[in-house]
Amino acid sequence: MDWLLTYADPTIDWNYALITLVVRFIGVFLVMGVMQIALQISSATVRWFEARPQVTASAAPLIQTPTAKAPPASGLEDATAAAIGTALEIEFRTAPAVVQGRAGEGGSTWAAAGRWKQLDRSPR
Amino acid sequence: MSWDQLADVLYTIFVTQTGFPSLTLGHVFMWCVGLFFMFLATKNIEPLLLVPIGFGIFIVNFPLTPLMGISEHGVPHFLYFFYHYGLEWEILPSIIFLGLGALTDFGPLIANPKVLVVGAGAQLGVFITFIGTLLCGFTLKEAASVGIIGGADGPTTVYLTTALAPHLLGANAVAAYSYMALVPVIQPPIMRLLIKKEDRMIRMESMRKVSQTEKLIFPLIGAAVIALMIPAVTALMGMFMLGNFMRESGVVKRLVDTSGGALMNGVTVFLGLAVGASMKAETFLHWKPLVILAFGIVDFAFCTAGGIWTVQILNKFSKTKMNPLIGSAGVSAVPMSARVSQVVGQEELPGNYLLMHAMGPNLAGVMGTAAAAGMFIAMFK
Repeated sequence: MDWLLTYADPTIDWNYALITLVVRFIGVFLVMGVMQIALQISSATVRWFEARPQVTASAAPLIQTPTAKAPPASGLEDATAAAIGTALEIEFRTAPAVVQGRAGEGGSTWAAAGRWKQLDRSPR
Repeated sequence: MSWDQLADVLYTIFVTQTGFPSLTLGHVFMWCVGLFFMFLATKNIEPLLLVPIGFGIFIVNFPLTPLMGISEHGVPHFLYFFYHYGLEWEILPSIIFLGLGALTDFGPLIANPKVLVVGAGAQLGVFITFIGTLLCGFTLKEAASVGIIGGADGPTTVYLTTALAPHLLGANAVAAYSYMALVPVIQPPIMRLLIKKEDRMIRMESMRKVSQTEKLIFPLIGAAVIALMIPAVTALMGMFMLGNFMRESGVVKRLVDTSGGALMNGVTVFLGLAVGASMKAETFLHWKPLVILAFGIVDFAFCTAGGIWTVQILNKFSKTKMNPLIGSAGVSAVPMSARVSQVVGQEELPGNYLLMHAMGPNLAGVMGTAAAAGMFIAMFK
């Protein structure tokens, strides 16, 4: 192997040169590795922060639902309320179409007056 | 005045005040070198640098020209001024890095940070060349400056060589820029030799979108890591990251335009001139530049192989495979080597777009080369 050193500078300390070289080469990997980790951490942090407002917006209805005010109690007994409901149901089924909706042709004068009143109020 | 006296005056002028009597074959040879570089530039091989370098070589190799010395009053000559304050004071490479930072989009690197390691693996040739040149009789500092050629980063090569072996500046810079221009010729055979066909056809997943905030934070992280771990190259990398921070901040468009445009172009002229002017016949005509040119190509080959091998090793430990063709882009030479990855990838599998994937290792290569340069400066300066 001495022939390899034929032209080499005889003053070179080869042990130092080779060991420090290997250490430096590993050092380049170390630097890039640290930068990779720093980059991954910063990217993850930024993405987490950027994702937060979206989560809040999508979660908003879920948060509002349980805290929404319940309608005030009517004070009626269950049986009374059921009876009123049934009566209304029967009324809607048996009443003329005019009563059920405003689209009927043969509406009462009261309904027609109401519609015209509405139309007069509407912006032109 | 007699004819004899007139002839004597004319002779004295000819001998002492013109360059003719001092011309040597070395000067003529260096003119040829300068003209050759200018010819290469006309063939579109690194013209932005080879034109001023070639002209610098040409103009400085005339005898008695007051260009690269110091006057009797202690004032630096015209080109020595740029060499001294621009290169020896590390100004010009750093300003070029400012411009490069202003032109660089780190998105592909941020989207796939593991390719940073590829930029480190692609420095293999730097260290192998170091040993090779030591065996050829170079000193430790000279060997380090030659080794960095394989990093394929011109300003870093100039920066390191000026710091460690200024007498080799011309040869190193010319070797670096010449081989960078030859990347499309040097790399493809090595890529085909080291990568199996099925691996060359690997399709990579599309990269995630990188937010503006991530891009804005990256230069700060990069500058901090480099400054902490390799302070020796903080000037170079600090300016690189400043340029990029200005770009990503989006609030200093005029500064970004100037840094990446007019300023960088102007500085390139003086960098090239100063490098060319350092190649005087008396210092350049030596056996060492020939060895440098020979080792330059070895250096590039091993750096290319180092990047490819690093990707292949990473693939063994990763679920998502990377196409090893992008490893060759770790030699820096932005964006030339990334384009080579794209072209070779397209030849193997049309429609396989590797350019943006290769830009990650490409940018990592810039930082890897700067890291290697910083290691050498810390080691020997």
